[in-house]
Amino acid sequence: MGLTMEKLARDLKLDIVVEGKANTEIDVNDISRPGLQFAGYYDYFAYSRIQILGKVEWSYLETLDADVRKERLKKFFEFDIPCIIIARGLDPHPELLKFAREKKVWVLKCNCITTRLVNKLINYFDRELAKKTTMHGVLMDVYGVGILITGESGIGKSETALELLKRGHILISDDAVDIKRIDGILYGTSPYITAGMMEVRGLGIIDVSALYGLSSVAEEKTVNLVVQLEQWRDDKDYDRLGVDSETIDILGIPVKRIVLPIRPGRNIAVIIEAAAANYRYGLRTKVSPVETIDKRIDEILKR
Amino acid sequence: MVERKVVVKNKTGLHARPATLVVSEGNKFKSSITIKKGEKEVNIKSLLGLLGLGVAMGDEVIIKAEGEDENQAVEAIVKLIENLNE
Repeated sequence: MGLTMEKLARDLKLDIVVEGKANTEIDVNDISRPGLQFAGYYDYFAYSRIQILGKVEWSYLETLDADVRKERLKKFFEFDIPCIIIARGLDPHPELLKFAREKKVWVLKCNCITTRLVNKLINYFDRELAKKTTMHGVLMDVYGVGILITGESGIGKSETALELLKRGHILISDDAVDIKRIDGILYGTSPYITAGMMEVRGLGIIDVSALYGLSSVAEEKTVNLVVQLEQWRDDKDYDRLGVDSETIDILGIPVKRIVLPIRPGRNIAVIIEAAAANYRYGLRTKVSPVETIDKRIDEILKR
Repeated sequence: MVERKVVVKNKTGLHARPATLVVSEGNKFKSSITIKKGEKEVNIKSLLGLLGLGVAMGDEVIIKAEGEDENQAVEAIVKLIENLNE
């Protein structure tokens, strides 16, 4: 789904100079600076992108005679341009405004300098046009690692999260986690309506930030690890060595997944803390505990 | 998999109380059931998930179920949503 110009103008605080076609939507997160096109070069022209007019383009138009400028802009507006954004609060030339009104092309204006505008736009598009999904689970920040706890309804995700909160870890979202993929990284947030809330069977909905303090909740966290809770099954072989890592695909990115079997006497919160610490350890070292053990066995055999 | 569209007609939409009714209805079935509004789809057995969708009066949602009792599940939930009157 694309982005409407009204939303773009509102979010980035741009002034609307010319209101274009009502259904204009942006779905490519690239921009174009049409200086070369104003000079007459059209062999390559990314017209479907947002066109940015900075001081360079504006000054070049300024050097042209009014007649030439009109011709050049006429050619420019023959393309199906979605939107023009003028930086530095520059006043658009009357010819540009005239063609924009005729062709119903959006013209927006901002006071910031061009490079900042480009920067802002690209960051904004990366976020807004990112691939999204919603996953059932609890997202928590444990020792700085974003852990998505999943499992069937009623398996004890929220109870585990409660224990983790008590141990000073941070809740991002309970039950439903909105996940966005930006630049190859997954970011999880809570839907606005249920932010900071948690449902615990028997208690109902609790306000976590009110009960445990503001520092117990956060707005966003990367999703680094998935911990899937499931009922203990005697016939299943659980990972014993911790070397064969399993992954789950979220928006095209493989995320490491650990399956934790639930059984009375297993304190899941403590295991998740260990998993988080182990995840960080894994990032810093190339030697797994199993390799260390194997090496020690070799040492003894050589003696 | 079975899916059906339904328009929410009660005044408050899926506010906390009506949402609870939907969740407990969903929990009566073994199938995995989701509710979708716009691009967002959540597990219908999760109260916070459902509330997070922010379903208002007049919104069209899609109920999807997959499992042994998928037909009955969709049937029951659609009926419940159509008859919400709070």
